[in-house]
Amino acid sequence: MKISYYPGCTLKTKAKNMDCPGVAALNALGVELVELPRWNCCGAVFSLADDDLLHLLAPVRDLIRVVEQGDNKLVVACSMCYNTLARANLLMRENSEKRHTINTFMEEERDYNGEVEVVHLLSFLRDEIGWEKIKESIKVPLRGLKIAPYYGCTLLRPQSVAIEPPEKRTLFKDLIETMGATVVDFPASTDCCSSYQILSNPDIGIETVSKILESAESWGAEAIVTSCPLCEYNLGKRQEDALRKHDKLKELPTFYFTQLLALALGLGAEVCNFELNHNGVVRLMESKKFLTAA
Amino acid sequence: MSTTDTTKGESKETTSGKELVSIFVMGKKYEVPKNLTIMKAMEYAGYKYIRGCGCRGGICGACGTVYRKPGDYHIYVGLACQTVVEDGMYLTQLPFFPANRATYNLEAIGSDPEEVYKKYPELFRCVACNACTKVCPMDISVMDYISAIKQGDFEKATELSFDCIQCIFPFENYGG
Ligand code: FES
Repeated sequence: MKISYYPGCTLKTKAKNMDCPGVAALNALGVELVELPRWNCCGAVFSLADDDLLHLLAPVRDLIRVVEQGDNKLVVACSMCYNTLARANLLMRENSEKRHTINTFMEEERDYNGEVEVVHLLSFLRDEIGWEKIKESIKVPLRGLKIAPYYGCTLLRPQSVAIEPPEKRTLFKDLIETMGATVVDFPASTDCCSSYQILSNPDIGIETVSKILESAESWGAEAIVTSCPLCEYNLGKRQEDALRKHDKLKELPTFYFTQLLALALGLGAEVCNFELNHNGVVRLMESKKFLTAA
Repeated sequence: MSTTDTTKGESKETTSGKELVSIFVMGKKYEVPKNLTIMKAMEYAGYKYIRGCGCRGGICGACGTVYRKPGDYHIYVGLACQTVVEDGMYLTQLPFFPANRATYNLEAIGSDPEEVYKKYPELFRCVACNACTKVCPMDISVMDYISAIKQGDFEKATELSFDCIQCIFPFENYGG
C-alpha cells in the first residue's frame, strides 16, 4: 500500500529520529509512506486570529499538493503539523466565505474545498494496518519496559481535530501494548509541555516540564513516548535543566513512538537516529537488551 | 512630443504614424508608442535612467517595476526592460532599498538550515504566500526553494534556484 506522507520541516532536520524510523517501520508493515514531491512548511501553529487568513495559505497549499498527486488522504506523523493541517482543512470544508477568499488569493493554485482527509500516523496504524497485524510483525517485544504515553496538546485539542476523545484515549496505550511493553498512564499525559514558552519564559517552561516528569516518574515510568518534536525538545533536551533544578527528579529517557515501533519490529538502532535523542535513551535500550537485532 | 490627441480606447497616432498608448508614471500621463518596453517608453517620455537600469537584457533585475492596469485589482510586477507597455498602465519604479546579503564561506557552513537561519532569519518567517515566486522576473520557484532549504534539502534548493543571480528583486515589499 502507498500513501501520501507529509513529514514536516522538523522531521526532515532536527527530528530525523522521528521521520526515519517511522518510514522504515511502515515499510516493514507493507506501507510505503510517499513523501509529497512538493511541500512547504505547514505553518507550525494554527492562527487563532479570526481575520488572519494569510497564515492559512501554507497548510492549504500542502493539502492542494495532495490533490495534485491524485490522492485524497494524507498521513502526518508530527502532532503539530497534524494539528495545523487538520484545522486548516476543516476551515476550508466548513467556512465557505473564508474558503472563497483563500482560493481567490491563491489564484495560481487549483481551488480547494477540504477534500483531503488528514490522518495522524497513530490513527493510521490502528485503522489502516490494525493492532493484530502489527502484533504479528513484532520481532523484538519491548517486554518489561514501562512507558508513559505523552499526548501533549496537539493530538487532542481542539476536539474538532482530536485523534480520539481525551478522556477515552487508547491509541498510545494500544500501541505500547502491541509492542509488548507496559503502559504507565499518568495524570500529566495530556498537559501542555509549555510549548514555545520554553524560549520566551524558560523558568515557567522548566517548571512545567518538571511537573510532567515528576508525574510520569511517580507512576513508575521508565520512559516517555511522544509524537511531537516540540514536546520532545522540552521533555527531552531541556530535561537536564529540570534535573538541575529539582534534585528528586531522575533521568527519564524520551522517545518518539516511531523509534519504539521500529525497534520492536526488529529494524535495529540503525534506523532510529538515537544520536538525536537525549537522556540515556541508548543506555536504557541496551539495559533492556532491545538493541540486539532481531 | 508630437502626437494626435485622442480619447482613450480609440486608436492614436504620432505624426510619424506610430500607434500610441497612454501610460502613467508617478501619476502623470504620457502618450508613448505601443510595442515599446516600459524602459524605452519612459525614455521616450523624457526620463533618463541613472539608477534602476543595468543590463537592459532581462538578466540583472535592476529595473523592477510595479504596475496596475485599469479595472484590474492585481498588482503586477515586471522588468522594465522586458515588459511591453499596455494602454492605461500605472507604473511605479522601485526605489533602492538595502537588502540583506550575507557573507559566508560555503565550504565552512555546510548544508545546515540553522546556518541559513542565522544568515537570513527572514526566510523562516515564510507563510507560503508565494508572492516571491510571482514577483521573480526569472520565473524561479522561489517559495519552493526556500521550502527546500527549510527542509534541509540543499540539493533541491540548488537546482530550483540555479538561475537566481540574487538581483534582490524586492519581493519582501509584497509578501507577508
Ligand atoms: S536592466 Fe537588467 S533586467 Fe532590466
